[in-house]
Amino acid sequence: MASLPKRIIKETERLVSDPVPGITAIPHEENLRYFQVTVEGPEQSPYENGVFNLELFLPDDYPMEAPKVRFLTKIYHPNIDRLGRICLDVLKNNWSPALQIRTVLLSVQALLASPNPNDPLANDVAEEWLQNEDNAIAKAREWTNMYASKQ
Amino acid sequence: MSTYEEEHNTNRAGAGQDARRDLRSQIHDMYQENGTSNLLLQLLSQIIPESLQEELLQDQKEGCPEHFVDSLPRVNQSKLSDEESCSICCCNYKEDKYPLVVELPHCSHRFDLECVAVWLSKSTSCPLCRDDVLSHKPKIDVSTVEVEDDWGMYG
Amino acid sequence: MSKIPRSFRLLEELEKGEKGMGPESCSYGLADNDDITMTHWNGTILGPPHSNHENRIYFVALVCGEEYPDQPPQIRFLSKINLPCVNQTTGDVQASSFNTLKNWKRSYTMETLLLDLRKEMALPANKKLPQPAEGTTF
Repeated sequence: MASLPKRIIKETERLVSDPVPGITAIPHEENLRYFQVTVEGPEQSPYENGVFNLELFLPDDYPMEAPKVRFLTKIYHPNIDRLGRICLDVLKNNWSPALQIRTVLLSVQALLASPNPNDPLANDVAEEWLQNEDNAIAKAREWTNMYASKQ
Repeated sequence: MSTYEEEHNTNRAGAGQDARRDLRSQIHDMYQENGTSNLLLQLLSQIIPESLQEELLQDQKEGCPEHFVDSLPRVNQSKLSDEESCSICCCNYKEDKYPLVVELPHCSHRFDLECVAVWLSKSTSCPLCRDDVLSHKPKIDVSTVEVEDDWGMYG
Repeated sequence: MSKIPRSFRLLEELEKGEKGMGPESCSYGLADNDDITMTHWNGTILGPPHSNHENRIYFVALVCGEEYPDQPPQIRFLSKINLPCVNQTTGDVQASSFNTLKNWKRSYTMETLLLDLRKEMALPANKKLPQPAEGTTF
């Protein structure tokens, strides 16, 4: 495998030595651009007490291109679809090479704290969120207990 | 403030998509009508969308012109602090014996030329503050314009 | 070149398939939109012109295992077809007699596989093989 850019090495080291509270990111041994990620659901959100598994990959063009991130744990959220794909501006058009793995994962955590049903990826979830928010939040909580509970 | 797209009158990506859709539907119609000798049409339907796709991809690369990047002001080594690092490669400038650091207009954010040149070849925004680096045109000296406008006072 | 992990590779293929960016002579998509592992896929191949397959649409099922794309997907014809590389009782495409599966490369995609099967149908030796009635299934 081609040598790893210095930036990726530095980011990885810092993720271990100075981890972000509520977030872990560990590279796979056989592919140091591929990270196994966990994100804790933010307090006072329907995802509270949940731990969500994600995967993150740094493409060849990183940091000129955004990391690829996906949820592996099922989650009921208007901006995350059934395959775990995330609709988040910094992962698409609003990417900047000054952003890092940690800032991206913080944005993902922030998305859990403030779902945006007006820019949906999962249309059925967004509709529920707009029409009956209490129901939607209850369902998100239920899914968190069902699929993302700490073991 | 106008965008790069407006200024350069380029909405080519959209136009290309429309053209491609039209072509596809035309080919589709011909294909439906003409069941007997459709080899050529089948070939066309394979070849044309892909070549248009390539054009589309090229159109999306909307960055700064090369001469803009080349003309970015260099930051003298003596003005770099020991702790300063490039936020794109995360390396300390002074790790390099001869750092080539540039400053963006207006926001004055600094980067390694090598790093920011790659980014600006496909974007027009500052990596740190998203300021549109192309939007700062040399300004007309407002004070003289105002004086000339004031001719009525004396009239 | 770094190695893109299985899931992100499959998401790329899915997006290409969903947006119809690929050639029109084949199509592919997830068999189950809820399948977070993205294992089971459906595909179609439009029969090549000037052959006994002309104007036919063949349905196939693909299984992308844990080792995809290091290992090829399993691919099986659902529509009946008479081709040397297709098992005539199960519809399975046999790796031993289909070069794209036999000499699989990581850079190959499901699209590569479908287009190469289409080429296989158009080979001089295969294009006039008698074919089962249209619409029959394995």
